[in-house]
Amino acid sequence: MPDSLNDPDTQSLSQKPPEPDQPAADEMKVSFLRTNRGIGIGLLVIVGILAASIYFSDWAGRILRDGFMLGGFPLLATGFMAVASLILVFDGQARQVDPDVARFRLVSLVIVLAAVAVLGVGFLSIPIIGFVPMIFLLVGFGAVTLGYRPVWLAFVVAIIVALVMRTIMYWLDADIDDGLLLKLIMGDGNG
Amino acid sequence: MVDVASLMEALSIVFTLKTMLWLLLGVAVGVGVGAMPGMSPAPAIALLLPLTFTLSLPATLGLLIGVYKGGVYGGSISAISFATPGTAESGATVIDGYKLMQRGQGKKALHMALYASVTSDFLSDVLTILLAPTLALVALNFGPSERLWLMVLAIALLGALSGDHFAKGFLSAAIGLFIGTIGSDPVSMVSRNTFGQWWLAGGIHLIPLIIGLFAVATMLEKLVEIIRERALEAHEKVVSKAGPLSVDSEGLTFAEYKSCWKEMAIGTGIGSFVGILPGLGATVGAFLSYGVAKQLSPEKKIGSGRLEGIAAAEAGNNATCGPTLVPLLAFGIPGSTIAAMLGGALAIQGVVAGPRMFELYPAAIYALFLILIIANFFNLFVGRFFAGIYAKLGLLPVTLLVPVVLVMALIGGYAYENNPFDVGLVLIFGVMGYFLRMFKVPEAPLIITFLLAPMAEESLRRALLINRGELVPALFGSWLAIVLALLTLSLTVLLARSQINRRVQNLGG
Repeated sequence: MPDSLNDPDTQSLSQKPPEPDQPAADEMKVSFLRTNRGIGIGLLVIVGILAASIYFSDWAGRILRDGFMLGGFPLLATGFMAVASLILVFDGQARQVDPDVARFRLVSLVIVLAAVAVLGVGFLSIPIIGFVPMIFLLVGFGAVTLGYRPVWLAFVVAIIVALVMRTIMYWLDADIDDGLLLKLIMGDGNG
Repeated sequence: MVDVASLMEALSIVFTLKTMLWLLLGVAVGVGVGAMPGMSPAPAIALLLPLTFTLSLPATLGLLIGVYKGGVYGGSISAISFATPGTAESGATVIDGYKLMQRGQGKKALHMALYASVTSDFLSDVLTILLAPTLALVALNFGPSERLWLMVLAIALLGALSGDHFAKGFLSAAIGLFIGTIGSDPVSMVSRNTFGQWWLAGGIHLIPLIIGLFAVATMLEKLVEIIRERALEAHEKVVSKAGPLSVDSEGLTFAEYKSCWKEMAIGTGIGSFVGILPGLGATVGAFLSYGVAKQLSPEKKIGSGRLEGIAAAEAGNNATCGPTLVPLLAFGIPGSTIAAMLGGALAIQGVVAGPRMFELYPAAIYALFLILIIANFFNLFVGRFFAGIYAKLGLLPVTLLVPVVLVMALIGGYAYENNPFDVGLVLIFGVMGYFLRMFKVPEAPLIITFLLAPMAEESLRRALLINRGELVPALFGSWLAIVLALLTLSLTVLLARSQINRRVQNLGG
């Protein structure tokens, strides 16, 4: 059960006995940043910067017709975020480390950002490459990169997904670009 | 009092071939999504929301409610077949279900899960139909300060009850409140908190937020797991564990179904109560019902591969489906992520969920109630005849699922308003959702506070206007407001200290 993973006795990395050598000291440093307290402090810094940027903005202090300050609610929200972060820093679970946080490596962040970048670039390339080819490429190469085999089946699924999605977009009357290639083949006026 | 004309109108719009087909499609998709480990009804509904622009109100309700109900039941299929719950809601079903499967009684177990799900779902829908209008009548008498406190109470409950750690639930609610303030203030419509970006002046819409937080974040999580070769190994384990599902084995007899009435009653009662409360949800409903049934009948040895265990767990999770809509319909406050999405879908159709919905859109309310009931029969049909096929979905390679869902999320975000900036938001919220999941921050308080933020601000400012800018009378102008404020404070402290979610899951173990 997931609960067992959340058991404070099994997950607290910060409770590891310290060792005298340098790598262990580094690990302790990393471990603190992964505890609820470490994350809470990080969040406090971010929330502080956010609150300051709102407070010193030219719009936040503006008083509206009903006497309410325009920045009132955004500042209230940052206040709540700060309180939640403070609770993380000081409550009974402050020294705990969530198992997923403990397993987190920089490579995970790189993977996430790379995936998001590929999706973003893929979407922005639709006007050039076209909707169907781009969805085909994203799904097909995505599946193969992740290890799906056989390769031909990945691309068969990809073309089916692309065509089904194009049909749905047509049906939703969405403004979709079929790309320069198809425009050249079909002439003006499609898409 | 039944409004016969509106009921007749609702019957005429619900019992059409088109609505029935959408409902059937919703249930079929929902059961499939539930049966696939890694997918759940929430991301599926998020991905389907943009599709509802072109649909009529009953078709929209049919599709989304079908996905929801089918999804909650569908999780039991892979829970029983592979000991891998398709959804978190079916975690308690694994305990007895998989043991029965190993004994060659998988078909019996699958039937028990289906019948318990449908029975409790139907009964809790009846309760919803009786309760929601009654509470709405009470809610109509609330002024702005009472409404404000009711929203604060809902947010506090969500923060305290969602997830294992109060601070994280509270943090989630605060982030939702912050995102809800981006765009313009809800009274004067003056631009604020846009980070200097013109395209944020209209605010952030529910659909990119939901698609990002649920669909994209879930898939990014899977993606990282695959690349780090964890999910792949887990998947191989599932395949090797599964073995062939024996479709020729003996099904459930009526006597066996009847013998589980007590567990189904426990599940229906607990699930309905849990469903009404904001923040708890179907997972807690299942584990709590299972735990209570186990403790009330130790002689049945629930946990050793008993049909009663499946009945309690499945009745407990499906009984939350209807009642989770009660706070939305009675007070206009969604008590769960799914309710928030259904509220969003109603808004797309021009219907504002809340107590006035009963006066302004009676036909829509009747249509919703009818669809809630009919969806159970569709669930019964799909589950009874296609469970074996759905069980194979549990073996669908996650390496194929991830790119397909990510691309669907991208295009779903765009289709909402043909706005490429929404795609950017989908990706940003996807990354945010990934980190929230990693840090075990529940998403439900974020989504619901995001939706409530403008309403809460409007209510506060209206209360201040009525009371000429005096804060104390604006907040505590009536006995009801004072009672709600005290209730909020005491419940928050009590629930934050008791960590209900963790205790409930321990009951099942």
